Amino acid sequence: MSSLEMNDSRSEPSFLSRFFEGRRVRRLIRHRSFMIGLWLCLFVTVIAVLAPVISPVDPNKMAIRSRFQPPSFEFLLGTDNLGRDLFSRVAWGARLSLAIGLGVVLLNAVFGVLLGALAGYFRRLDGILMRLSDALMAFPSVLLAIGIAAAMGASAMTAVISLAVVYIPRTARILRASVLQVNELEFVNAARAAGAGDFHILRRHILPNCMAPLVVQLSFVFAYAILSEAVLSFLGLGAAPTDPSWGIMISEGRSYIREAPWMTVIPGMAIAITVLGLNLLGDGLRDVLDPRVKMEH
Amino acid sequence: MQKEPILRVEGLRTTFTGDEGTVVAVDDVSFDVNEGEIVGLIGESGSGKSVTALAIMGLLPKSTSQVTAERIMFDGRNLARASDREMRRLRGGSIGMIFQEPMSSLNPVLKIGDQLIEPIRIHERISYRAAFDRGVELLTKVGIPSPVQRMNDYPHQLSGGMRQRVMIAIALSCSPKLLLADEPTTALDVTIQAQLLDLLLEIQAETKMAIVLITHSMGVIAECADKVVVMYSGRIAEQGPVTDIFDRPGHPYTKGLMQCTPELTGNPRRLTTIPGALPSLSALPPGCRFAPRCGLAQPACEAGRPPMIGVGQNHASACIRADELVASAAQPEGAEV
Amino acid sequence: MSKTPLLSVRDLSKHFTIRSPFRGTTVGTVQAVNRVSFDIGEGETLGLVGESGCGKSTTGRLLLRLIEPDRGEVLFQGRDLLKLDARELKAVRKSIQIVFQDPFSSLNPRMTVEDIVTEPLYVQGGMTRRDMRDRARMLLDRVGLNAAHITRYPHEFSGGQRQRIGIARALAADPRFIVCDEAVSALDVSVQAQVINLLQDLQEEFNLSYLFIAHDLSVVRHISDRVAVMYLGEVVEIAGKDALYASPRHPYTQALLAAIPVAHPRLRGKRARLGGEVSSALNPPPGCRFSQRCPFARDVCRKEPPALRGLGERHQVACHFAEELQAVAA
Repeated sequence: MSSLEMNDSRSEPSFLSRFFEGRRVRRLIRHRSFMIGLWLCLFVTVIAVLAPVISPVDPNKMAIRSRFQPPSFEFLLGTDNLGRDLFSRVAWGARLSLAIGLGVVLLNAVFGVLLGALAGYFRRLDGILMRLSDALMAFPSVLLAIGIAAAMGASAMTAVISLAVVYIPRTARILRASVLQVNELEFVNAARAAGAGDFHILRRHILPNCMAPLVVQLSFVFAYAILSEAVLSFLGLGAAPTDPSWGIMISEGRSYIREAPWMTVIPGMAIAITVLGLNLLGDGLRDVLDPRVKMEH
Repeated sequence: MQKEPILRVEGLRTTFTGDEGTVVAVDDVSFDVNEGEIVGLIGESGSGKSVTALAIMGLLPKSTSQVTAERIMFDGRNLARASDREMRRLRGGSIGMIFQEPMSSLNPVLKIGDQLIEPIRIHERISYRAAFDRGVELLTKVGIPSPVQRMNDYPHQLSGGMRQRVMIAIALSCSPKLLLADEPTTALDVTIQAQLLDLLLEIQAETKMAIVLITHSMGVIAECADKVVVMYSGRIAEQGPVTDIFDRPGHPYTKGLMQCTPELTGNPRRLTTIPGALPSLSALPPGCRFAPRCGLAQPACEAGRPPMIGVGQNHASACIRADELVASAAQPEGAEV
Repeated sequence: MSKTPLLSVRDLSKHFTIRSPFRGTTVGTVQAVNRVSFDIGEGETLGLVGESGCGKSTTGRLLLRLIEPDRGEVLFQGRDLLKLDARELKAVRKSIQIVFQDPFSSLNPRMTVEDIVTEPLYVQGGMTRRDMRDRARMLLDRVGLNAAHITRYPHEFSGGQRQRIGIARALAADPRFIVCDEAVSALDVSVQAQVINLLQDLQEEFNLSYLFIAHDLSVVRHISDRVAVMYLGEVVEIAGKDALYASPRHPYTQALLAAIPVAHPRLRGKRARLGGEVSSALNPPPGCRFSQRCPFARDVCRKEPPALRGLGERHQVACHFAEELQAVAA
């Protein structure tokens, strides 16, 4: 029962379709929670990209006369204790959150792949690299991020670096496991028998076949990074207090939670929507690209 | 006139629904298994031979597959209409099963003894002690040395051949009337395969149970089967008594299968081959499914499904040129396929 | 066949140490391949048969240094492959190739057929992309695939076609010697015969030598000139195929042949079956490794390992009582 493959001729595949072959795309499109996640993520991205266009006012512009305005036609999502427009702040906050998340994802992609590939392929490095990652993973992730951020001083860049340090060991571990798995497949032996060197084997054979679990992992890292950035900023260890960060907004709203609950609820919902979107997206990708790793996380 | 067969399958059809749409894996398959008979079900990958067995047993996942049949009569009961509960009682009771993978069909965290005793106690109300004794007896019967100790072993402590013997013991535990063996020796080495086939024949001679032996190997068929059902692409190509099939194959596919297996006598430079590849189930040729690979194909072969033509006693072939083939085989140097 | 063999293997050994996962102490040694020696001539096929775990596949990989041997010599065209440094080895790898069993895992799913087939050329360097593409087309055509399909991916092909792609890859760098590691075992019988014929045609056309590793004795008989039988990491018998199949000298070879299913239902009948289980190569017995299962074993067999010795022309057996068994059989 193995020959359910298609034998019909096909057009030449593009780069994207090498990874997302036609049948995978079709399965993704039919995956309901993936599509919900995709729409949520697109929605947040559009808000972030268009923030300068759609914000009615400067997110940091204070208007003492219109403090604590509840959501209304004039102030779509209300205003805060300094009279700043929450809609503008949430929109600009999306930019900041996505930028930090993207930064963490990029650092994860680069260093996670590098360390994971080294540990999985060069077995002599495995011991030391994995003990190192064990040591980092022994700390609760947020605590570790707080520690690093506190040591380096609060800024958006600090948040990116500390969160990257937290998640890189996890990404590296997942990559290492895939490298170990792919390294056992015969086409790697075939390349070796052809005289290929280690770099060639890693680049052409092993890493391209580890992309599925990596993409899945990175989508989750993205979600965690946004959530953790909010935590850091809430604690005053993330973005600068003047930046419109969702975490800072919640932190500021905390004091007025009875009088102006929208000050905390609105950025909270922004975080929830983004993280939910990314998680649904990641679940869908995992189901379709990498059904084996269902037990992770 | 013969007795009523123990298993009569009529018009069995199985479809799978997946991402690529719906495929028909088994298409209108009918055959009989008489009491005490070994029926060999032979075919290559995608022929539907394993699916046939699973469909009879009601073991295909309901979410992705649909099984229909005019009738599946087993021991006077129509399995096509049986409830899940009835099927559960039959499986491991009057119908035993063995699968190809002796590792994955045993639960790795349970002792051999427990896996042997459990089905006995599900189907019969006897004490643990009595079931244990029966287990030891069965292990002895299937040729496992020091059976009492083995009852306390875990599957990983046994070799592949021994595990398959345990599987046979489990299948035999409730004295089934029918044993479905799906490639029971494929994963095993040739000396162990020989031991197990001998064992199956011995047990069959003693208990007179009927066996459906699913295999891809003509050699296994030649060793064991009384009757052969040849499957190709979800349909029956030919069925008949084993010597008739070997002496006078009535279907070009059967003939091709026998010719392309290298033999231990003679020294041909080249093997006779069947050109082409097995068709994909999602792109089946119209008419006879073997026609695109067949040396005898005529335009008529592509026109419609060839009917089963009787070419001897209990011997029928789904080939419009079956008579020619059988006649040519009767002469020593018949026309080549 | 020329006087000096193309490939000459002497005392090739590979032992794996098994350690306890908790205490780190050595539990035992698996003698996966133990003092294996054989020659393969120009244009010759040596079949290597045995049951699972006998070390036949490991032997093939040791020759290519996909696994590093512990001891021994692999003389290829007079040079010992085991003494080569990385650069020399890479150059030699053009001449020695391998075809794998699994038509699925042996092709990188993310590479096109063109990239797969030309990889040996790409790795060895010195060819333009256009030349490589032309060669890929030529090779695909030669192995019976449509040359226009070089832009396709492996999953678009059937098992038999994928095996042909693997063969085309092995041929790419114009090798002298190919290890066929169960190269047809995973294929359906109707497709298997096609691939066997293809391998034979290619051998004739390019004057290739094969080490044909398989567990199917009929297939090995068909394709081989000579056959070596392995049991628990050691070669127990080597002979020309006719001699080996017609008058096997080693009791294990005899048992293997007796276990092959009959070709026709009329030939059924009780034959001597080999009892017991395939033993493990972990801590093998001191004497003959087959002695535990051998129906003819005597005391000396359990104490002294028999050496592989000549018995008639180009027929070697590792059994203390090969002559007596011969007499009994006759």
